Amino acid sequence: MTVDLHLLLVEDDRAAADLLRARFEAENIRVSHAESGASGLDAALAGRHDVLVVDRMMPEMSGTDMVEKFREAGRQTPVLFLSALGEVDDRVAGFAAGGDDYLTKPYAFAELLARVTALAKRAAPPVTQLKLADLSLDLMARQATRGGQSIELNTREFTLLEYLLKHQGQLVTRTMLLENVWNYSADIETNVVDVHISRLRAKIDRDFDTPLLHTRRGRGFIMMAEA
Amino acid sequence: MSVLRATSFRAAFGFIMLLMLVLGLVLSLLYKTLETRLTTAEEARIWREAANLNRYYTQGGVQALGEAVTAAATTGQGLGVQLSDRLGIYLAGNLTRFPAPETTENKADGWFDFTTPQSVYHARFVPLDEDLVLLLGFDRRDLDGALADMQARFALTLIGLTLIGLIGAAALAHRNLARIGEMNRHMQPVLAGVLDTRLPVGARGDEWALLAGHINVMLARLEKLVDATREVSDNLAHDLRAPLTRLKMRLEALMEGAQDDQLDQLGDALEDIDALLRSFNALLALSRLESGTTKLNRVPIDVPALFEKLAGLFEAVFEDAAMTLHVDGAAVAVSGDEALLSQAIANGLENVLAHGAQADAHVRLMVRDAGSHIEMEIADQGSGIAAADRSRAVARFVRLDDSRSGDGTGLGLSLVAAICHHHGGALVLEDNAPGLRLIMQLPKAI
Repeated sequence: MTVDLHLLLVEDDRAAADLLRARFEAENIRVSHAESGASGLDAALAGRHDVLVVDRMMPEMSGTDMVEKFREAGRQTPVLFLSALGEVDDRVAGFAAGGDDYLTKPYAFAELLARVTALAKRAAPPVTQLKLADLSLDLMARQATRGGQSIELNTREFTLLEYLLKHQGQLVTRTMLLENVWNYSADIETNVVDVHISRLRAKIDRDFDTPLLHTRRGRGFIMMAEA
Repeated sequence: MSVLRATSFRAAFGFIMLLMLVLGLVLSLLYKTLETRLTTAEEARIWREAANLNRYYTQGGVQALGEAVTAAATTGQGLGVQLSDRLGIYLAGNLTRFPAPETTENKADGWFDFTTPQSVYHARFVPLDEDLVLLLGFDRRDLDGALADMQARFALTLIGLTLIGLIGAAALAHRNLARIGEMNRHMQPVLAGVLDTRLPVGARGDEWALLAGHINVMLARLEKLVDATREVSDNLAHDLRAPLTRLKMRLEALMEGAQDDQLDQLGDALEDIDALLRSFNALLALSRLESGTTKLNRVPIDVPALFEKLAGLFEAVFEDAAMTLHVDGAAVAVSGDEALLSQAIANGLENVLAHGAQADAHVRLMVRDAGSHIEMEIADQGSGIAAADRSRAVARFVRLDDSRSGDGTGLGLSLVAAICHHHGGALVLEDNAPGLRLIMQLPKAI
């Protein structure tokens, strides 16, 4: 999926910023980089960005201070905080400062990408039907079919498939699934997500020639027609 | 708290009782003295009367004595007088009868109480010579009345003073309780981890102000220490996570264009990073919970919804392990930090999967009102934990099977216990015969 976006990255870790910029540019996302809160604020106020990605802990002006000032200036551009601090109260502080989303380091790039694109096009048109190859999901009738065959899914499996199809072609991490399908944000040790994925796979892939739901070792899952 | 149970009231009560006892003793001594003095004065009057009558007798003979006795009988206030001869024949006076012998006998000092139909006299015989005897007495009803009156006043004084003392003590205790209650109310946020709370010192400069001031100094120091601890763990988190972030990004970048066998290895490396991170997160969360730097966002918990959420996640996993998860989320009123509680329950369930697995077993997640507190319980039918090992099972990094081969961090139950403690509760492990009952005790809403 390619999105033409302009993103402002405020991050004092130059190496991390360079790595991120390369990854984003591979996804057709233009990245401007600021190395401190102060220069980030100047750049944010001067430019027209679709999304701000701001590190929380920076010397001198912190990310939260920067975003607070940015919001005080009346600017509405969506902000995603990157932070090494992942406690619930840290998140709350991030949202209180005017952030729209919060991602704890280290994260999978797929997750950052998904969140950034979601922030940039918040008002996505409502869809009633999702499709991938011969698999289709009717969101109104709550009905899944593949190759003309109806597939029985329970509520949770339906939500899971819906999320995967909405992000088809994109890597989806376990964390993303836990948060978006199960509304669960704490750490989980067991392979909970894998169990659900393998059950879903048994229903949508097992009796068909082309697998659609693929596992990417160490990273997550991806829904696509080609392996 | 009741005023009657307050320390200051109890102390004042004891003190008042002691004071009243002493006062009672003093008053009864005073009463005795007054009684003696008054009686002696009246007796002296009788002696004077006797001397007077004797003068009439020596100067004017029996005739004059008889007239004087009659005069004294009519004019003497409260005076009883009788003149008789040795043979006991009444000659003059207002006392016409003789006292019964048993009332007059055995009185060392000669005084006795003589009851007539009209009155009670404190009386004695005064022989004038061989033939004539005077019986003289004073009406003791006046004296007795006065003494009884005094007794009543003394009793009233004692009761009145006791009452005033008790009311004063109760008022003082009430005021103290109100001050302490106010302090306790202001301390509530501190118990919930809000350390920038300060007590109002007040302008009176009394001992309460001093206490509040000292508590405030303590709170300020505590806040500073906790902030310092927090800053250390924040910096640690930052310093560890920043390079891990870069490492992860580099590995992911390498995976774009890698061959299949390399993909597997890189994937494994990423999974290792995630495992490392989970351990680090758990350790960080644990030390923050134990040092009290984690804020407790206490809200009313929708227990059925919370249990349903966790069941939605875990049911399938338990099914795959050939077990059945039964979730019984009764609508018990629980207040707590939802994220922490759901973490605790998830850890408990993962503990069952890792250590309490047993084919065809039934695992139960339930909640109940245990009277003084709320209990959330996870009960499995696995091999359980021997009573001797239960306290060790909660310690950090302890794996009871002694093989460090498991995927777990060894912090799961420690975290559950820390979360319970942070809520002001406790984690209790009990035998499910067979299996383990993991009981999270949480205090009721405050």
